[in-house]
Amino acid sequence: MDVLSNLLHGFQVALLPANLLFCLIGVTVGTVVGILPGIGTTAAVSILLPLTFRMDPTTAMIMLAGIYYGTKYGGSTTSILVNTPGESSSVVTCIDGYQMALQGRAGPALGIAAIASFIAGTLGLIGLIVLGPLLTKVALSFGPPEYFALMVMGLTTVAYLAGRSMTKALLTTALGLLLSTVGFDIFTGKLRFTYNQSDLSDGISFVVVATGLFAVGEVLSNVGRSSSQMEMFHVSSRLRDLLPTWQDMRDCVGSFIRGTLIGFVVGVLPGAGSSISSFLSYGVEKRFSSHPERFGKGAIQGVAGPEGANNADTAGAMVPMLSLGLPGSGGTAVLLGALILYGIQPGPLLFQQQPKLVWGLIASMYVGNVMLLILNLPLVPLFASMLRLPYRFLYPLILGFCFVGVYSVRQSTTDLWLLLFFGVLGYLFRIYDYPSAPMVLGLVLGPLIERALRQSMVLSQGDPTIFVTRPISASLIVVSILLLAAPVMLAFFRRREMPGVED
Amino acid sequence: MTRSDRWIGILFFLFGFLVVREASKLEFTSSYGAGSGFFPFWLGVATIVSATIVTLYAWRNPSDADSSAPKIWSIKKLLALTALLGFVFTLDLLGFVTGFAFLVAFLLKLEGESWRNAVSVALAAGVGFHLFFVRLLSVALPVGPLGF
Repeated sequence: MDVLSNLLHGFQVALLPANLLFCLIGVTVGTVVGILPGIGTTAAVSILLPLTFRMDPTTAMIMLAGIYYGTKYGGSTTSILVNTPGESSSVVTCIDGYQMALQGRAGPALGIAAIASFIAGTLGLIGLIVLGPLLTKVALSFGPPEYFALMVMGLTTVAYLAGRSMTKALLTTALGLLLSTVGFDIFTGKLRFTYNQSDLSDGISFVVVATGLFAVGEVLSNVGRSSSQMEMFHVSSRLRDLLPTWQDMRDCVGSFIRGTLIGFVVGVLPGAGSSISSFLSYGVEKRFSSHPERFGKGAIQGVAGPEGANNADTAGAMVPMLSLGLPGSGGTAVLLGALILYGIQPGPLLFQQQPKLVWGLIASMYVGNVMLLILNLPLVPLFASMLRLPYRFLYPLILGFCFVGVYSVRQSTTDLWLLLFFGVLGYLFRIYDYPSAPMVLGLVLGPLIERALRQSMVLSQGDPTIFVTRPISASLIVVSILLLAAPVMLAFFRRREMPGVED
Repeated sequence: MTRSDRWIGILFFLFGFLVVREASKLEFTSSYGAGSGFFPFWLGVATIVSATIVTLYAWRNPSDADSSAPKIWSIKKLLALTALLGFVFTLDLLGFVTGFAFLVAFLLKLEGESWRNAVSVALAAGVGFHLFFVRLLSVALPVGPLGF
């Protein structure tokens, strides 16, 4: 009942004209970002974040979240029409979506992707509404040691799932955490690692790092690549041609539900990400299908399941972010960083102290999903026509947005130098396969982890055993250690099973 | 792990070592329990440990993935990066809008566009950014001698 009245209050907030307008702007920008290659969710949210500083925090979060989940809708368009995913989470949609387009069913493929995204996005929000407050109640009993252990576990899980090499992910996480220590020490007020650069005394902004790693890094990796105009299928502008048949809908009912469940659960796990949920969903759909041989040849369930999963994933990712203050991906890390920039303390008290923001945001996601469905069915041909714009015209503009976004945070040229530095670093990370998201996560969570660590040390009068003598923090630390040891243990068991086979 | 990871691991190892050395200059413990240097010190240690694992693993199990990797820094990329550095370097001198227009024109020319296309897109981008960010959103951007 309490949840219902909060949700109704949330709808009152979300349906305010200004919030509706910025929700529409957010989801439209998100769709465009999802469609256009060369700019991802994290980069888009961090570039536009500084422009929201003068806004009401609730309105700003509604818009930024709109970009975040809007990209998932847009990503499928390029996968289906040009066999090129706009987002990594839409890679799997290429397999059957493009085959459907080859068979003259591009319209129904786009239609089922939008409908699956809508259903999963909406059902995922129910999960968020149920699980979010529940998790908050549990987390309210946490003290600084439990928080420290929780955040360590979150970062370890991200490192475990983020890249192909856990050690590389741990390295970038440590780098992010180290960057967060630059500037004033929150406890003593002393300067650390600033080397007499006054511009560094406030620390390194995560906007600079996220924009550099994700946007400038991506641009640098694409400069000079031949960017011939993409060949794509014609899409009818008639709504009737985009709607799947009743038979298609009946075939996909199970896929919608399975995709939602998989996406939501994977979304809640820090670091798992949309790509994992969509691939997992594709595998499950193939296994559940009575005609697995159709997969890869234009099976509509191969579009519905993964597209549903990568949208339910966004609602799932909001659960730890809103209830625990624990982001699980680069995108949610930037959203959490935005809350901090607006002067709002993330964590379990968020639901109690900022009900307008939290419930307004959740309700706006329902509204945004409806907007996205309306936008993505009749306006698909318009969005698709953007793909005709060659990348060489696009990337100078992306760079311009990056420069404006970063400069407007503190009006500091030093931030622009740092932007280029992190851009080069992001490019090299891409080349050498070092994941960037854990670095942003480390940077955003760094001050929170350090505060929890040092508060715990104050509580224990300098005794570090406080983390292992309290049951919850001890359990979380054990999970972290198991996650760290998992690759070694797995390799050991694999060798025992296959003697003589080198790992 | 690739052969490059050996050198990257060594670089990170040295970086971690530097962090530990710098963090040691800060207070390790204080009346608050942990001092300013406590957290960065252990992060430096974590960096050293991770970097050592990366290096050792890359040494023991080298793969030839590097040999098939594309050339990292092509002339085009280097020129584009130089243009970006030049843009930031001359920002206070030229102002954002003028500098950005030059940057766009240079990048488009670099991509093989004609002068006419490069200049017209650059002008449109400069004017568009000025109208949208400076006039509409009142974002404070560096102003050049031309007043924008």
